Amino acid sequence: MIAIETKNLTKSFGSHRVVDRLNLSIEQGEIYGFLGKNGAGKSTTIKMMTGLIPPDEGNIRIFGEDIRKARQQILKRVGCIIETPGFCGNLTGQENLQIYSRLSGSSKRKIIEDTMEMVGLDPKNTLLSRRYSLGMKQRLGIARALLNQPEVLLLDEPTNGLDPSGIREMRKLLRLLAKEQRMTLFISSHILTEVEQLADRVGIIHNGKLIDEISMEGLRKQGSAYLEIQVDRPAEALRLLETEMGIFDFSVKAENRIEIFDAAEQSAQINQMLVEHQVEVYQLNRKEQSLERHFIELTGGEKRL
Amino acid sequence: MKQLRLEFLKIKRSPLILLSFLGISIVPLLMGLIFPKEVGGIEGVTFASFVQDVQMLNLMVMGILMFGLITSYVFSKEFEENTLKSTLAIPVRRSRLLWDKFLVVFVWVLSLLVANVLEVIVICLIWGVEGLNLSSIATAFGLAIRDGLIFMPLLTPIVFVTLLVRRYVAGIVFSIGVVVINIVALASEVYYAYYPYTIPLFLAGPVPEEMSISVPISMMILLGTGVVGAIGSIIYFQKISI
Repeated sequence: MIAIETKNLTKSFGSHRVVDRLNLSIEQGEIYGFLGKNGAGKSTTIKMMTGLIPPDEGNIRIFGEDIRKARQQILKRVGCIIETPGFCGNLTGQENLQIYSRLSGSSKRKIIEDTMEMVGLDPKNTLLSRRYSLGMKQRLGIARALLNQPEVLLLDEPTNGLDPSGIREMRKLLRLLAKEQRMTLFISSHILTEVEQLADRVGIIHNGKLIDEISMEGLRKQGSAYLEIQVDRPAEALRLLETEMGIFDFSVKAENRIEIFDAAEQSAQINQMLVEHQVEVYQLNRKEQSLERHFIELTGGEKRL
Repeated sequence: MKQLRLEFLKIKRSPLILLSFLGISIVPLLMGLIFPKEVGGIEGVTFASFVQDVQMLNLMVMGILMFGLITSYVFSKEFEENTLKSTLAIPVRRSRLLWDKFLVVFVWVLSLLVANVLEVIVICLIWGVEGLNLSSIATAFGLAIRDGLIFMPLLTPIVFVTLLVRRYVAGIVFSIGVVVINIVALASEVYYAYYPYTIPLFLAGPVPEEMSISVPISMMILLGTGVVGAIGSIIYFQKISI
């Protein structure tokens, strides 16, 4: 069953077209990663999906219902975080959730407490939400999105502000929700590795247009292997790769690491050549094509956008 | 009722609650404790005249400032705290949300006016002011509620300005502007009956014989201001992109 479907979705602000004839089709229970640079149209798309802003053209269907015609009914089945989650700073986390729980038609304290515990927050914590850290606010935002036990979860940067262990916990939780509750997850994120580890399928949006859609399994199959080496003198290593071996497709990373593309089969020769030229090779690994590489090829973007 | 309770929950622990009660208490406090000493004592002042003086100052300056502040606070809070996106992503009607917030303002304003009367009673008891009895107290509370009701239509333009600018400060600036124009309008013996924000003062005070014909017109201007402000706010809030 298709959970989210957009057809020719278009939105402009003034003369700037932010979303341009976007066509998406997301199955129930799927985790869909939505990638794009800043201003690519990710948040605008999510806002249109929740009816916060109307599209100029096209339509959005959630479980077959048009958001413009049945917004109230659809929103009962949807949870979301849009951009940075905000809260009433003068209330505790639990009080904040009480507001949204009651607005959604439920007021069971047990559901609120269970949801808070699920995202790693203490329901008995009396700290006012204005004193929450960014990570705590993000957890509270996810708890709020989960309160009405939605079938579709729209998450804009869900791991923003979380520490590494928090990110791992959140990833685990989101996987669990998709698997056990057949929840459909639509996640926009700047962190490509995060989406890579979580999504079943990714869509890449660039200047408002969906420029690619690929399943993570497909990406792995399609992806060519590349070499990652760590050396003492990266500048010299790059010169040697070009002059001695005619390799020009590479990128330089932090900590003297170099990624060399389309040369995975030449690992032994590369290693030997560098050593012969007194370049010390600390590491040499064969890696599979990453989402990051795929993204950069398509958009010319950076890892953290 | 449920949504209204939630709107009240949103302002729980807000420092503005205490500040608004302190703010509105300044007028009777100054009039009752400081001014009589300056002008030679409390002689000649009755409970009714004290209530009327406080009421006039409230309607002219202090009330407008405090009620404007409260209105802009309640209506800008969700913009300022960035909660509106989440609130509107829940099946809740925008017009309903505005109405509940307006009811919160209404209850808050009435509470301030009632507290004001209580304060006047306490001050009158301390000074032994004449004319303090159950009947005059009931009249004072009645007048406070009437003032609150008269004032409510005038708050809808402040709602509109707050929604338009989405900032707390918008309503405050608007209220200050209103007070300045009030002072100018009050200088005229005619125009103050037709300028919306001095109409409560005109209606509250003894209406001069020659101006009695203006009362229905003033009331229509008052209600018209309220309706225009309310309709403008609802239409604008329905249309805005969050």
